[in-house]
Amino acid sequence: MADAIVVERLSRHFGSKAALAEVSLRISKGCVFCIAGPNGSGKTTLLNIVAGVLAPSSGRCEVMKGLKVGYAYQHPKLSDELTVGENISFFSQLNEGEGEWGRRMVDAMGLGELMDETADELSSGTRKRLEVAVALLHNPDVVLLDEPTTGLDVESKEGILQLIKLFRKNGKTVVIATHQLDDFSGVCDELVILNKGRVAVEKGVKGFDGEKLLRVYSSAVSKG
Amino acid sequence: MRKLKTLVGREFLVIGRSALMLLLIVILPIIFSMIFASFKQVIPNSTPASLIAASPEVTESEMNSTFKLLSRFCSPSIDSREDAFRKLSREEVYFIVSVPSGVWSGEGNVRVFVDNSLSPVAEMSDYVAEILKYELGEAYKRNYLSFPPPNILIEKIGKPISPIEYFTPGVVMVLLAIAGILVIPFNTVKDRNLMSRLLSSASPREFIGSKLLFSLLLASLQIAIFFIAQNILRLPVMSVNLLSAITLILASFALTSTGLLIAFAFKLSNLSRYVCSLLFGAVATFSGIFYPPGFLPSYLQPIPKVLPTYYAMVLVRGFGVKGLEAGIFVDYFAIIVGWLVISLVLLYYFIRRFMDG
Repeated sequence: MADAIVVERLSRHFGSKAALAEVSLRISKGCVFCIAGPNGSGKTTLLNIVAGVLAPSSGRCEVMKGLKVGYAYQHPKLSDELTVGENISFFSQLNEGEGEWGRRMVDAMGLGELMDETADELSSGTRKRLEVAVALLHNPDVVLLDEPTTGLDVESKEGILQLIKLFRKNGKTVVIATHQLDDFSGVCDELVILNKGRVAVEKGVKGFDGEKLLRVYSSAVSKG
Repeated sequence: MRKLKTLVGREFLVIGRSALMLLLIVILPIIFSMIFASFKQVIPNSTPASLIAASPEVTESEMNSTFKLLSRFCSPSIDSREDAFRKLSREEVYFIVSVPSGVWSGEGNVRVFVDNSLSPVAEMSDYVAEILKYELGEAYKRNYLSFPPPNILIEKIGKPISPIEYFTPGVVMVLLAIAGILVIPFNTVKDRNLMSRLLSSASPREFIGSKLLFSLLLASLQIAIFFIAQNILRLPVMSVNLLSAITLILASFALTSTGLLIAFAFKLSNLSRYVCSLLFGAVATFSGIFYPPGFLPSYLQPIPKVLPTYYAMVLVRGFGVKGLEAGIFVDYFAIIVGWLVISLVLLYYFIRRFMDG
């Protein structure tokens, strides 16, 4: 399958600290790709570079031409003074979102009845759901999700997993950064484990159950 | 009581961690007390003035003697008649003293020209005459002058305007400064968390464009209000014409880009808000908004010259109140546009730097 994202010898430094060091990987179109690793391993930095929010210090990161990227940040980046509806409308217009698709995402995230609530007053779980909806409003081809299930209740987590399955069905590429690997055991096709900014493990894991994934993860992190 | 002490103690502890805050608390009162104390004098030392010869017969010695006399209470420069009146229009000098031939031998009248539209100066021009009379009288008493002092005649040029008409452009400038240096940058700082999403959805140029467009709308609204008040409701508040409107809009852009530049230079931190507040204080105090900068002590007079708002105020008064043509203010326009261009380039650079983490 053709590549959606190519990362070659990518490094990123913050001052003298290396957040990523010589990371190389390829992510196929239509694949659900998990980036796992402990806190500070470079997962968010890698997603930021793929999303174009951050420039690499060296190396190359390329999202194939013509593919639209949607990025749900780990910490929701919303216009806090605006209501849920106004946030949806603002980001939809800013990213040239598609009306019908946007409404589907709002419903999928269970935000339909919260449109008049101010973003600032939402619970952290609801803010997270709004963040995911905002990232998806423009029907992106590549979906980047940073810790998408953190702080969510069981029902909301299930909603996210259903959405990921829907994306895969529609041929979209999904990249998930997480340290809660067991949440995604049922949907993950490929896995890369980062440790201290380097790739510790990269392998296809389709069909792995949660326990097996965790064993791979623990082994990789303990070696690092 | 103990709780109160603990809570107050924490306030001091927090403030003590911010060097800039301490600086503001101590330095600002010192600066303002110096400014206000010096402004209490009617015509302070070092107010710029022009000295001209009333006719070709005036000798160099007569000019030099009058120059020395004027130097006792202002900062005179000997100019040609044309230059002096040009300087008066551009608010580079606040009065012109015209010396007649034979002034030191009791002949002719000394004329003092002041700009009637510069209300604070026009109102104080009688004091200028009084001081001049006093100094000449002193010279006579001390036998420096062999004849009784000549008459001093005040000539006010241009149409008189009320203090309200004089101060209204300043009020507009303060409002533009509040929007450009405080409201827009502060809102941008508040959007710090959101900024990476905004800047990944819109380019830095689009982002800057949106902020400038917002400031344009705010400025246009204010200009429109004063235009309606003056032209439709016939209220004597402020004369708005095309040139003064363009000046206000350029000033608004320059203030907004400077405010945003500070916000991004300090990475949208709280420190940037303090620096913006400090700049607002400087703009409000030193731009000639409420009184002419030439009335400041000599060591503070260079400050207005580095602020684009000083030039904008002179332009707005020149176009709106005095009805002057753009030709004599080309350099002032260039300074405002230059400031705007430089601040936009720096703003673009600092946004790119912010995006690179």
